Amino acid sequence: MRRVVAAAYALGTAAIAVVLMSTQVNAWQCDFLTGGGFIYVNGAKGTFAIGGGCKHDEYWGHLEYHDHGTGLNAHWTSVTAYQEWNSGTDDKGRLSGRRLICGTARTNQFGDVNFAVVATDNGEPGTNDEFDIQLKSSDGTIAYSTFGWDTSGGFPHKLGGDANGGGNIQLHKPNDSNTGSFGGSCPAL
Amino acid sequence: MRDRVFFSYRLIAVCSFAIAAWAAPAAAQTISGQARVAQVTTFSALGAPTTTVVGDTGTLADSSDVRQASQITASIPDVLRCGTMHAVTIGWSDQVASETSLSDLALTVAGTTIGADFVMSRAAAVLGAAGGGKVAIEGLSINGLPIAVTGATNQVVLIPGGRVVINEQQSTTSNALHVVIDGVADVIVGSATAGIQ
Repeated sequence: MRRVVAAAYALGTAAIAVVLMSTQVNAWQCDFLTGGGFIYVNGAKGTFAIGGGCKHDEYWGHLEYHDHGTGLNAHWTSVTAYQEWNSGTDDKGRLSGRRLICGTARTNQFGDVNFAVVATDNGEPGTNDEFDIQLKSSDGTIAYSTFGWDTSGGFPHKLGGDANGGGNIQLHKPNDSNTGSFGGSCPAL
Repeated sequence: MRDRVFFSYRLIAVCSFAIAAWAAPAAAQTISGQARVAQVTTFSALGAPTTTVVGDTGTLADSSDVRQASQITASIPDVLRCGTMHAVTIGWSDQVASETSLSDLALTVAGTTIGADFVMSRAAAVLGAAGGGKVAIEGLSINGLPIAVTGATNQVVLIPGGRVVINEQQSTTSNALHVVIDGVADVIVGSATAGIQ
């Protein structure tokens, strides 16, 4: 009788462990965002490629940005933050939401800077997706920003519709490398 | 007591079978994921190929891998120039997604010039379901003439000595542009691969 009770207890414990592990895996955790496209800033095209997320307890991603009006180039050198600003699903059950991606970048006009990118996946086909960027110099001054100062398109800059932008932002569910959590430091904000 | 012991053995056997059945599909799973901004292959007079790749993620190692490549500009002298580019591939236990995009494409292949303001290619594969690719191209021109991208898969535009395939969809690969000059050059721009079995 004791053996039966012990076996049942062991099985019950194992079942609870499996449930707990499943809960841990399925709980909302750090994810990935990727995208490319263009916005219009003061009448000129700003092309971008962006990635953000967590990978093995470190923030992961990249940024490439080129303002065709001013000639500014920014190329990422590190990613220091990936933050969830909002999350949801679209009408087809796909992930949607807004993320903040921050890090450092090398530019051809302002030297080394801190960058902050706010990117939003508002579902397919991407015309309502959004991309905005701000660069701060090492002394803390804003070197470049699409967070509201420009007069064409305005913040947030959409990738289609009346804003005439293009491209797509895509949120991706977490994979097994997504250890770590949303967060990090963002000196560019 | 004998009944209870028998019951325990039977329970353990059932659990073992269930665990084995649950684990078996994962062991048999294979994935493929890769994204490339561009791949240029030229052929010598003797037909020997020379291939140059720009912005390549490499292949996914496993279903927990994520790989990226990005550059602000890239060029292959006399052939290709582009900017603001990236390539990403992500694996999961039940799917793969790959994506690449680039801007300001200027391509010259055997005297034919091809330009585009923006190119994006995405591929996704989901275990047990049909995969698919999506391509977006803005401002495409060939030899200075604007080309309407219809959205149809494998749209072909003939050029001197060859062809341009727009939105080329293969089994697991989505190519935004594939330029073939027979015996001279083979150029793929915006290639995303995603497969899972």
